[in-house]
Amino acid sequence: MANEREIAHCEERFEGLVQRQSRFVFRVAYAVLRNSHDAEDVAQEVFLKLYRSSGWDRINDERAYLARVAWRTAMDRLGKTRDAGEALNEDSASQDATPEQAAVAANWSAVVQKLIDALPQELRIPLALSSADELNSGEIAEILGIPEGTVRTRIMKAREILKGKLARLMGGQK
Amino acid sequence: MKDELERILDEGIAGYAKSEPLAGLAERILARIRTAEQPQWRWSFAIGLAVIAVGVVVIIGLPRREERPAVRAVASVPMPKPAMLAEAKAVRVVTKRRHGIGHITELPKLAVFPTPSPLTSEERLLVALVKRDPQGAAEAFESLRKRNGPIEIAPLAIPPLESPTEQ
Repeated sequence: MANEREIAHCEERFEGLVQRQSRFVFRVAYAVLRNSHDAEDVAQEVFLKLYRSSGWDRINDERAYLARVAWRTAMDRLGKTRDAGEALNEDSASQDATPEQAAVAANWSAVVQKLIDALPQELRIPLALSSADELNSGEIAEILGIPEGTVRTRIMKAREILKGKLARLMGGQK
Repeated sequence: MKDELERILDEGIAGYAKSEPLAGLAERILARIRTAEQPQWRWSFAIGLAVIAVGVVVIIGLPRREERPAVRAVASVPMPKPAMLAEAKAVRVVTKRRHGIGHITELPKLAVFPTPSPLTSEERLLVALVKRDPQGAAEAFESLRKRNGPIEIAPLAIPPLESPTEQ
């Protein structure tokens, strides 16, 4: 009887965790995959793994832990989709437009997003995570398993590259 | 120009990973976990039942091999006379089935061997002839025997040729 009550309590706590963090996990996955459908699949997979691991109630920092698992799961899926030849950025408004075409249409946000997609993965992921859910460089460092200074350097470098390309496109427009 | 560039960049980066999940994400996740964690024995039980059902269908559906009737190899035996039947002893006749398992039936064993068969019409006429005219019948048998016997050919005698000069 006491055991049943304990199980019910445990289920309740897990449901609470899903309610609290599912959106965050989705956004981390989306930052990597840029596809809502895939991001939701990843979120489901992350919580299923967590439920089966049965160690979820002993996690110290659930946000950092979930972000790390979500990132890894998303990266696995990204590798598979790229192997299958699927394009990134399926949900983007500027899906079919090149940065130049988007610039002609003066849709600068779409231009920037296209330019981010074109960045090398090691620069794109820290930048995308920084924009995902206001993750700070410390959290990103923990997710990626790299020093915090490296994260800051990569984000800065990514911004520099984007700024240069964007300036050239804007100069070409004017 | 520089401020505008920064603003565009910040907006673009902020919008890059800005996507909201469809409503009810947490419920969908919990539903999937419940589905995935259903007891495995239910599936095993269902699969077991399906296998048994398929087996039964296959066995019933198979075309049955034709059962050949067991043919009893019985020699053509004329109907025994009642007197013979009375003396008859049991004889075993084994009819073989397909897989060698014998089926034994009892038939009457006759005292006379070979089994007497009734006279044909020609034989009956012959018996009547002998009874009516035994002498004539004997002569007839004799002539028949002679006719069927070996042919006697008299030795060939060739007279010597006479020379024409002697005439």
